[in-house]
Amino acid sequence: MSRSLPSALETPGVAELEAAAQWYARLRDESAGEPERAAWRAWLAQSAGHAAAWARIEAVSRRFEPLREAGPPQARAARAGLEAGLALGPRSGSGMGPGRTRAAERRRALGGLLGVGGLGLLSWLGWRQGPLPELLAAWQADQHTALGERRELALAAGSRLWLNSASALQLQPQGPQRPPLLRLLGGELLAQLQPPPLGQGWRLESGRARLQTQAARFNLRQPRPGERVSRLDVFEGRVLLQAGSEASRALQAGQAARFDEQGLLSLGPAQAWRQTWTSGRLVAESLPLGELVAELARYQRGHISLAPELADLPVMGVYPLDAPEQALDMLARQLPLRVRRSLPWWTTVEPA
Amino acid sequence: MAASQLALGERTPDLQQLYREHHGWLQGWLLRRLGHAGDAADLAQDTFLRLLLRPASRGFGSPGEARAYLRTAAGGLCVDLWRRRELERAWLDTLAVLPEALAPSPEQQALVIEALMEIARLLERLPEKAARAFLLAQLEGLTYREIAAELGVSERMVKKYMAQAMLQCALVEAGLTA
Repeated sequence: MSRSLPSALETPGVAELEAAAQWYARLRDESAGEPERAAWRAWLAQSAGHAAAWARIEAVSRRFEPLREAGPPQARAARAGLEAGLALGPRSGSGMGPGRTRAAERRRALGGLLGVGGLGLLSWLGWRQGPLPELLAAWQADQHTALGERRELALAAGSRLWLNSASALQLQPQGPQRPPLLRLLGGELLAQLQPPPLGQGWRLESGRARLQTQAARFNLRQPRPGERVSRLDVFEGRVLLQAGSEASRALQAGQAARFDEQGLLSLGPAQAWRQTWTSGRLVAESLPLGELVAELARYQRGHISLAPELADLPVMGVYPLDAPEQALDMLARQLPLRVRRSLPWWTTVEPA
Repeated sequence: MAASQLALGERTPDLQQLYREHHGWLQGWLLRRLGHAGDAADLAQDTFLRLLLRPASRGFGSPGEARAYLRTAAGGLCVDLWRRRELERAWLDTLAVLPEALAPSPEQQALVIEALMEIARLLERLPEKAARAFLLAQLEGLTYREIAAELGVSERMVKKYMAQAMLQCALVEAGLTA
């Protein structure tokens, strides 16, 4: 784990949450005045447990904030939706009864605007919603990182791997003579591979691409949801890349390839900044803003919408990947742009 | 970021098999319940996905046990699906009064519905009036007096509902209750 939650979000006890909820109900009362607020401040200062419990109360309230601040029509619609949704559910007997039939009829009439569940379950993985066999494979991954997490892995004989945010890796043993087959099932990895002791080379699979090397330092990145293109940057050594059904091609240190399921799309110079994420920072030298935002998006739940006219703005600086919001605020100070957060998972970056 | 030695060989052999043995049956069960082949296929997939993401519950003693588990999980997803659609319908109906220029894009719609579903999960175990009081306060900023009038209860009762609702949300949010 590379991140830990701030202490204010440590799990408080039930008794403390009960007290905090009582305070909330008292302070929210329009007749509450300075004496109540003073008493609440004293309670809050009494212990870290009280502060932790209050942080939860605030977290609950923050969920409602964007809906309320969107204006009365939006807030009213949200309430109507919730009340209709809550009429179905455990409270009314596992969705049986009149509500169920009514909903089922409407469901047929609607034809499904949004598709089915799963979205919430999947979003934390940050992976493309793939066919089930692929997801089953991902489950069997030996290593996977959650959103915002990075992990460093030590392999035999001084070889190392770093897994970026929302990534999954499987290591398939190939017997005592060979290093394990590495399968990147999603996300991004940086590999620093030394020659294996018995001279058998390393092999890595990712989607329809296969990589082979004796020793190399390279970064392999699978597309995020909504993207299509994979990318391999070789920084040291030499890597054989076989993409799609094409023949293998050797990439030397300093070269990079973009490819998709079918095969190679283009070759170009390796981008040194693509190895800086392992330290939790992104070091940009004249990096197009669009690329930087795409990197930050790997670390953030939800969507960052960037105005197209800003995508080519060159960016210089060191940006914290673990604090994408802070990184965006830094950009807003450096560049003629404005960051708007209208919903917790919806950030808009637009010209100032 | 500590380097961790890799644990090799920990395999999870039985999920693939579970999928082969029960997927067809589960999809049939869902089809009878939902009356729609596409929904049934989606939810069957989601049920296995859930099993995959909560591996603690894997390992079944018998096929009967596996099916009982899958049925419960799939039943929960049916309720979720109905709820999502009911919620979406009421939300869109109410929004329909907005001028078109202010209407949300499909992407924003999806995000808002997802946020509302999360809130619904926080509130789902509450008595109806407590949930309504809380929504009137949190979403529309009504005072206790206004909420009391809307629900036909005393202001003291509204305060009680508010504490009850906030506690329930905070407990779910803190992972201390379902």
